[in-house]
Amino acid sequence: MSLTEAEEPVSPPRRPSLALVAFASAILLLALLGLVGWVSGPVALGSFGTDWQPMAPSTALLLLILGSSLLIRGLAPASRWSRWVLVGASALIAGIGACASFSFSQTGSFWLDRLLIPDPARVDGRLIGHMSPLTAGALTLLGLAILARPSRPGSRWLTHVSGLLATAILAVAVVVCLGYLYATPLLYFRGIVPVALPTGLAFLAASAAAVSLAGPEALPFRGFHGDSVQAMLLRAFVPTAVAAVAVHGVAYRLAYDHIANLNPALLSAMSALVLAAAVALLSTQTARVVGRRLDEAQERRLEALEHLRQAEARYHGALDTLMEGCLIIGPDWRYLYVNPTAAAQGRRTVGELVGHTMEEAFPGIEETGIFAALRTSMVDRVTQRLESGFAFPDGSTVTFDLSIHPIPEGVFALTMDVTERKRSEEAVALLNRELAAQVQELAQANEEMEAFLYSVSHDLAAPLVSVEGMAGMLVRDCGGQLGPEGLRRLERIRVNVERLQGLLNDLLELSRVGRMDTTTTAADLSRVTQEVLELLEGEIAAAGAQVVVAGAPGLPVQANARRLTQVMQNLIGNAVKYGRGASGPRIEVGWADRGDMVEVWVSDHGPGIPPEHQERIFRPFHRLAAAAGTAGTGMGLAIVKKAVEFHGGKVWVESRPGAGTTFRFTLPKAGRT
Amino acid sequence: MASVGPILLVEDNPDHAELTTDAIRQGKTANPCAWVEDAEAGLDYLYCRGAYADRQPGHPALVLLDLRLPGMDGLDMLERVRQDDQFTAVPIVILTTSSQEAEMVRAYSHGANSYVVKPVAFDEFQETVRKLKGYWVLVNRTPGERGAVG
Repeated sequence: MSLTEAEEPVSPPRRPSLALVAFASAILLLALLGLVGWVSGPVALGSFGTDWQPMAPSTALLLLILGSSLLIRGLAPASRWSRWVLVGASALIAGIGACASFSFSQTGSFWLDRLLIPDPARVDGRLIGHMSPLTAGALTLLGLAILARPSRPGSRWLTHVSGLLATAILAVAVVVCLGYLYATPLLYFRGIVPVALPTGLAFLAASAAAVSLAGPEALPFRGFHGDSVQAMLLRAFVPTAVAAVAVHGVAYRLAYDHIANLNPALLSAMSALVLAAAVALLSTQTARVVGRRLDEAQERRLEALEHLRQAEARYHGALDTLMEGCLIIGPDWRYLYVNPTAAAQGRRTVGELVGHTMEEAFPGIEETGIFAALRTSMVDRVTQRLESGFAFPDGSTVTFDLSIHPIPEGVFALTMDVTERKRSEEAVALLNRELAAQVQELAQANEEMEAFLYSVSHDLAAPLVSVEGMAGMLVRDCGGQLGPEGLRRLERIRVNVERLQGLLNDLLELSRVGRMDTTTTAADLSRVTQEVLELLEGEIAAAGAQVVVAGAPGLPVQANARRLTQVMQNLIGNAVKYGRGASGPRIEVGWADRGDMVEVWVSDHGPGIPPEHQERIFRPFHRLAAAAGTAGTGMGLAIVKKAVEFHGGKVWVESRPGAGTTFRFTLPKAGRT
Repeated sequence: MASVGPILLVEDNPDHAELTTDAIRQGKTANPCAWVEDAEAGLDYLYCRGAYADRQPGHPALVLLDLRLPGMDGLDMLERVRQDDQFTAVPIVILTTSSQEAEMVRAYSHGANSYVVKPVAFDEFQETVRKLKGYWVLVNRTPGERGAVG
């Protein structure tokens, strides 16, 4: 049976209904007994007592039909045809019952009775073998009760109608049975056929079946269903009361039948005693059952309460020790719970807050953004997350990170004091901005420097052209008049012009590295080295230098070809110029794979570089004292450094005075992703 | 060898002008050389107007143009000259101390025939001008010219 229509709109029971089958079997049995009694002679089968009214054959036939259809329904509750059989049978019974009732009111007899028992006997003025008008009415109600709820859930009020009709039949059946128990079968008006005892019993079973069909939701037995104490008590007390009455009735009946010359006062006393005993016994049993259930329920409730208390204590403990502030605020803006952290954040004690309204604790707080967020959460029942400043009366401002959640008691807020974090974030942001500005300034200064270098070297080139040109023309046109000393001095002018020009060219070059022509390709180190050695052929020969190439061919680097050549040329050129040891310069050029990078080195066995100079040699215009006598601008290593760094590599020097010098630099390997 | 058209030198630096005219005068063929100090005067010369209204008509055989000039810039003058169809075939060679790539690119895009950086060394300077003269005046041919070789 379904509990409610809403939960299971279509839910015919799938398994056979045992109760229905039992009730239907009882009805069938009683009806069959009545019929057999009529057909074969022992009328007592249909009356359960020789002097009692037997069940009429018409009643037995109708009960047979009803019992069969209920049995079928009980055995096959899911099948559609069993339902239609039951509908048909109950409609038939309701119809015949109604016809019979009508007949009785008009003619005092029923045509089916007249057909089956054309010549009924009369005992004490009662017709034997004819249906009781009360039976006819009850059958009508029974048919209607089953029709109102033949199977699946119909409308709610039809269900209730079904339950109430079934209860009415139950009442009729109880009255009939009690009448027999208390030996007053003639509960009716004189001349009306009484209801037979088997018929009453069949009605008991039929009403039970109808109640079962109406389901747990139907009135008036709805209250019996469920786990509530009310249902429990109803289930215990109502059957107890019925059983007590039944026991009393049976005892009364036995005494009435079997004790001769019974004193009516004694009978009353005895029956009262039996009734009391029965009621006491049954009440005790009921109280035991109900009490145990109540005790169990109470125990479970206490247990749950204890669990709840423990959980609450646990949560409280957790909240109390939390580093974040926790607040529960009621709808009247009163603090219901405040953990010590939250109180400390508000510069109050827990006691100063709990039980007070926010406005009492912090006058003017209702103007703040924090309060606005709390109100939004409270009114709209939404979660809020915000970072908000809060100004204390002493003027200090604290930034809180709040998350606010609606809860049944009001709102729950988690607060974090993020003032320090905020402050450091702002400080870091400020530093970053300053740094970015400085970087930009530096970049701009660098750019301006390069532009300046470029422009200066150009502007200086023009007078150089003039000086050199004039000197050249002077030598060519008037050389004869100058004399040897004049010519020597003119020559000094031209040598210095040449040096100045070299300086300007290097300055230009330095300003160009990383600015002009920045494309890179895969360059083969051994090929570049070979080209550089050919370029420097004259100098190498003049210095009597020996150059050994110690790198394997076929290790490409990702580089700008012109810059790479320049780097190698400057380093090897330096080694040729300054690497002279005891004998002529011995120079080694090599390279090796270093993972993503390739390391290249140029070594000489010259006088070396003093440690205090090693840091400075990569600066522009820096020249060593030892190089005073040699030609050079002091720009070569600066260009090397800038070019290597442009490629993302590093350049450094390893040198000990007297033990030679090794310059090393790294470049990215070609084909690296 | 027949006489050829004059070489126009646009150069604000008198020293450089002297050096250049000196170099032009060297060698077997002596070209007349006209020197102007700024771009305006250069345009006046080309269009035979102003101070040059009375000059012998005809286009110069070669224009040697410096880039950094007072007033109108060398590149501006180049652009103006190239806009006039009558000067399409006049060879214009940029002769400057600047080796800035951006200027080279702009010079060529404005229609310069050649871009030459003035060498500092005297001998080299002489040689460079001699080569320029040799190629642009003696080898190169332009339409409407009286036979250069005759």
